[in-house]
Amino acid sequence: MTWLVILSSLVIAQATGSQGAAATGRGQDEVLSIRQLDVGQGDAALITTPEGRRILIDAGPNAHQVAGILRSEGIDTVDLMVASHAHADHIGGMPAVFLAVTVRAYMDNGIPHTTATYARTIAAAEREPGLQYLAATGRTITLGSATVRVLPPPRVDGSQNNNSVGLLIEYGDFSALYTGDSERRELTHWLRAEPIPSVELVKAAHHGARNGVTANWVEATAPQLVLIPAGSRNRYGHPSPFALQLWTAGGARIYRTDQMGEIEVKARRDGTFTVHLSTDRGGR
Amino acid sequence: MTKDSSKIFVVDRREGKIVVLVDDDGNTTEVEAASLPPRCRREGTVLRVPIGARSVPLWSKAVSDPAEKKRRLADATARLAKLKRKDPGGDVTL
Repeated sequence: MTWLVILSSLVIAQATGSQGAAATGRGQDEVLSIRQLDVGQGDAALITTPEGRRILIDAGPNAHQVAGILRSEGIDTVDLMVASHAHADHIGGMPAVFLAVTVRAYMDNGIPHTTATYARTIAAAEREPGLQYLAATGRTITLGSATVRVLPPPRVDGSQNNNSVGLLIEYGDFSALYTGDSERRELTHWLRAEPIPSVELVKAAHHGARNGVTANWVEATAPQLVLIPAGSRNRYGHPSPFALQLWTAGGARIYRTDQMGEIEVKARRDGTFTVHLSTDRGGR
Repeated sequence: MTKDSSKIFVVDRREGKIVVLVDDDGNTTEVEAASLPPRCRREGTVLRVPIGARSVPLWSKAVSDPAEKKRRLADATARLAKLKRKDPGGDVTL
């Protein structure tokens, strides 16, 4: 697979600062890699810290695709797997991931679902030897030089989307927000209940749906970069023109898996980053 | 498929006017919400759907199965409770 590197003008401007980081002994190879995998109409992101710790957030809709990616790349351990919520387009691949690799810790929103896909996922977690289950409470998880702060779901109702697990991933001055399929109600809850900082990267909630963003959320997070996982030719209208307009008006550059295939962001400790696009654009 | 030629689907989620159903093999089917009876459109509902000629699901004749939904939720809740006993609590370093 070959890659096209995108350097936005903003990133180029900031990259000047990264030379300072190198001069202090931190090599340019010390990057946090965030890969928004091209899983069609679903969601899966693989994050790797400079120390090689791996976080898998969701595993797409296909039963075998993400496990296949991990196996093909020789990955045998996922340190933390997070099911943002229990919908099949996010957990469809999880049972196979449990079979394919060692999963050290597993987090979900703690709200059961009635699908067989959910039952297989939870059964696979039960069978995983030595697994730590981590409830989605207001806790911080340290993986090498990165930290993950959990934004707990509000649990005001039984809705899966509005009880998505939120994750604030921080690596030095770089930060990224992953909030599953959270809709306006959950985003508004977090703005009231949690210190939501401005971040470099937001994974658009609910595949860029109209109900997955608010003006206040855009203003608070003020990302430079928005990743949208969506399937080409999906029937749901994801992403919506409304969401695209809000994020763009907020100053973000948008990258979509339905148009660009897999997207990788390599972040440095000083907050600068580069975006890498696969030239093998699946457009699934 | 059950003996009376019906099949179980679960409402995985709503996406606007589309209901996304998942069968017990994990296969996903999208149907217009209007093609299902109103009580069969809510997330988490377990449906029994008659299968007609050429194995076509008869969506308009779907019925909800609250007993099966209750059984599944009880099973999942018990498994989750068991998993939660593996939580070390507090902040964690991995």
